[in-house]
Amino acid sequence: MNASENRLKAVSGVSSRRVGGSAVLVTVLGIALSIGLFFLLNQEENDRLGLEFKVLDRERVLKLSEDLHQLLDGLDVLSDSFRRHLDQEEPEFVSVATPILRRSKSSLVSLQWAPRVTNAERAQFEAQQQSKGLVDFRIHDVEADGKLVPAAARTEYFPVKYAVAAEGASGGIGFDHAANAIRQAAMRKAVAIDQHDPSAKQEQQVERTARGVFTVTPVIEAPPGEQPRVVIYSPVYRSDADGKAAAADQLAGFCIATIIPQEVLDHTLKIFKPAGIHMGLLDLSDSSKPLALHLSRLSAGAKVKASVQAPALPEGRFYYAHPVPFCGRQWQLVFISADAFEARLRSYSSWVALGIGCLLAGLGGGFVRYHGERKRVLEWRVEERTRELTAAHAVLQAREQDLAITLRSIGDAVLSTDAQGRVSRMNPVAEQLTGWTEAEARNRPVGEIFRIINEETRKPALIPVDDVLATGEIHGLANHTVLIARDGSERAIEDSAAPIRDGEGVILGVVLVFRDATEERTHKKRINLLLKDLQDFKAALDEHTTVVITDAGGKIIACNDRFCAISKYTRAELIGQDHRIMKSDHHPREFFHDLWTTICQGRVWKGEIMNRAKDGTLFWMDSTIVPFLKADGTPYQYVAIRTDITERKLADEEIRMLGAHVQKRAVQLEVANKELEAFSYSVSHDLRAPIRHIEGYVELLSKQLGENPSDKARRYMTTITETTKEMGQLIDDLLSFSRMGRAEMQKQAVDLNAMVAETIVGLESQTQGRNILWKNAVLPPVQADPAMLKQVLVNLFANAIKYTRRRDPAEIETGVESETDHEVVVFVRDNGAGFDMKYADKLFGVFQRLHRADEFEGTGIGLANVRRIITRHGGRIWAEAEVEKGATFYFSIARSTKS
Amino acid sequence: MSTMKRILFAEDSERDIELALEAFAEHQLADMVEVARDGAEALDYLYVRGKFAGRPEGHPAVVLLDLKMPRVDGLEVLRQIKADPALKKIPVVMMTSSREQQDLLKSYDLGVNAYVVKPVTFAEFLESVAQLGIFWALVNEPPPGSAPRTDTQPAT
Repeated sequence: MNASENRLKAVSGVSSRRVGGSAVLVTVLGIALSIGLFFLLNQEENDRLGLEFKVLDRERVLKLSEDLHQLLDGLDVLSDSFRRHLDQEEPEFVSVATPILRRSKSSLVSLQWAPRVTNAERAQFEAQQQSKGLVDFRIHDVEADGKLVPAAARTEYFPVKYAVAAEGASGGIGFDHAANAIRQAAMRKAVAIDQHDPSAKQEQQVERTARGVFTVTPVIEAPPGEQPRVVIYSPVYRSDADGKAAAADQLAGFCIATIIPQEVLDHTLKIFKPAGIHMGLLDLSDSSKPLALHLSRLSAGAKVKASVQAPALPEGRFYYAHPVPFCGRQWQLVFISADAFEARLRSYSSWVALGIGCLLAGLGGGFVRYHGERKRVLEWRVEERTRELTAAHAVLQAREQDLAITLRSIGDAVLSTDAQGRVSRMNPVAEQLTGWTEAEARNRPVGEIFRIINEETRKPALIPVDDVLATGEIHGLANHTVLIARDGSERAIEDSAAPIRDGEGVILGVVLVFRDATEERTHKKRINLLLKDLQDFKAALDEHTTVVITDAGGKIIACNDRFCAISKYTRAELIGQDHRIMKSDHHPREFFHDLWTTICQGRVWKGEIMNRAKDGTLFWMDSTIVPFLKADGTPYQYVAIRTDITERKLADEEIRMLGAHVQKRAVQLEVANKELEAFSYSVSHDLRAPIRHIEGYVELLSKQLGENPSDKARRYMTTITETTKEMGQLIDDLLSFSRMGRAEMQKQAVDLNAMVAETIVGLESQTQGRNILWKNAVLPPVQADPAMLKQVLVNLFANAIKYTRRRDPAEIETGVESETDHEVVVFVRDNGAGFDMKYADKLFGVFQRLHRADEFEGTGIGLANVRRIITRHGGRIWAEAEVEKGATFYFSIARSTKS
Repeated sequence: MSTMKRILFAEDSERDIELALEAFAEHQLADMVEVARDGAEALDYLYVRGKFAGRPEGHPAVVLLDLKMPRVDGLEVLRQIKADPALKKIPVVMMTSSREQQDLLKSYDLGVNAYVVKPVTFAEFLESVAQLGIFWALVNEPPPGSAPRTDTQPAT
């Protein structure tokens, strides 16, 4: 099998499947259409048959109704004869009844007359009948087995008196209709309906005839093996000659007709010869127990059995039921079509249509398939030819495509020309840069498409194509060329041109390659700027700090001059070493461990390191070590930027030492303060007690001495007492002074004017008997501890009062010397003893006095206390005085911010 | 039968005791005064133990305490008195030479009833001691449980 055949097979596989598919499709569609048509025709036919069936049967129903009424008319005629002449003899009865019986063909089995006989009349009636020649006449009942027995005793009997019967049937003379419960009920209903009993009327149909109203109720009987029979009772009344209703007790007897429904039907339908139609007459009066009065035997194929009990209907295609009310019973005539009926009438056009349809479909499918096969072979031939052609052009196309793809794919613009310098080809980049499409540019002179100028001179640049065509040499990349696109926009480009030669080396054209260099040139400029910036930064950095670069292992690979200058090593000595060369042994191992851990993890380390220079001097560097990281986050080198902070470190050290010293002094001061406190506490308790004791015992002593001690003793004791008082005063002043130094200050706004007035009043004991002129100017409110400030005023005033003792009048003046926003300088001036300014520096010392005690008493603590208070308030105190001219004390104190 | 003293006077200085007793005697109060030589003795008296185990029942009408005493100082005695539900109703007067603020604050914190600075001059001292005795022992209505008043009223 060669390749070509194989391919045919492969192609035909697909194609033949397609052809086969079309054929099947045609066939299936044809069959489907046929089936559709078949069902349509079938439906039509069924409808037609149904209509025909109904027409036939409606005719039959009408005929049956008619026949049945003919039977009733016969019974009516008989009843009327009795109404006219109740006591007729048998020949009269026979003359009326026999023609009726004959006319009914074989539908009527018998016609009877049964008079009403009461129990009392029974014997007489029987005797009467016997006397008429019926020797064996008895009123009798019929037992189940057909045996005749004398009627049981009843109130009334309806024995058959006269009868005519069809051939072979018994007249039943003497049979008592009242013996049977069903017959009795039928008779009672007949009477009831005749009596116009409304309840009976509701139940029963009322039949009307031309001769008036009469009612009958059938009794259905089916002797074993025989057709079902229907017995019809027509009541006759004694005084009812005209057929009007009479009272029940006027009942004379019944005319009784027995009919065979089958015979009626047979007779009725004989004329129709309904081949293929089953028929039935059903009694549906008792809906729970329908009775089949007759089922058709006319069709040979019908499996129908006459049965009183089971009205099973034969199966058929058409069914038609029609109600036939008869003598108060609900009869129904039923027709069912059998195959024979359809066979007779059916045209079978639907089947014909189906058959023809399928045949045509098959033929169509076959044709399609045949045609498809032929087309397929033809197609294959065309394909085969096409393939050959395709293969023949494949190489050419592939080359062309390769070239096109290559040109398209090249990121640079490519433009080629023929030998005359006309554009022959352009790739998309070239199109984009020049603004020309290849189609538009083709065959135009290259100078039109590729307009270039010199970037700086703005003059047209030599187009390399011309150059190459002229020289046949490759034209290298030119710089500073700007391409002007079709829309006038300009782009910096870089270009080159090369000749295209054929096999013999003849120049066929030029290929021009160029690219957009705008971005490149911008980048270059930016990079140059950045490089310059970097250079400047480096210079600035070198100017300010030391820079050392080490590799990942800590070996120095570069450092700047500044570092060399500080470390006093040459660069050659440092390169290749690590920092341990400058180790000062000042830092513990953990310090460097921490440093290395930090930078090895790629984090920046900052800190201060003490290093040792080559000449052994120590220097401090504030260092920042920055790891430079590889892509994986591990450092490949470290740059340490450091500033010499040796001087600052030395200063820091000095400050630290000073701080420590101050702290030490503070502690000492604290201790001293504590001691002083303990001392003064002790003084306040223990120094006072002995004085009190001396005082107390002197008192006791004076008591002991009695009423008249000697003058000397009295003076001694007075001196002792005064001395102890002075001692007490001294102690109190000292304690007060000590307390002032330690007490907490409670600064608040103080009204100085009020305080001055208050203080003067408080000093009344000392001013009694004195002529003192107070001059108190208005003072501003100040910010101070009121208790302490009061102490100041008390002391200054007390001094003024004391030292003006020899003046009359004494003048004491208070006022403001000067004031600023923050403080005020208050003065207290007197015209007292004054002092020599020589001793002014001693004025405020503890126990310092400028007067003798016999001149002016005092402990020398008051002014010391005043200065201490003012100092603690942040103020100053000083005095100006002249001996015997008076003294002025000044103190400054903060103003109250509140006015 | 020893009679119940109505003033407990705790003072370590013999001279102060003598002077104070002199002052009490001036006002016929000397019999009412029981002297404790330091804080420990003062507590012994209050708890009826040690040297005072046999003393008659009942609390004094007032306790006069010197602040600075050896062994147990006045502040400690004050603290114990005021911490004991049985004793805390007894009025306590702190007597001291000092005017130190810290002592004053501490005493009042501990619930002292009065704080008296001993004057320097004997006359004043005499007067203040007498006044204290008269006020606390005679004028002030003592809390329930204190010893009954003596039958003699001092002539003032």
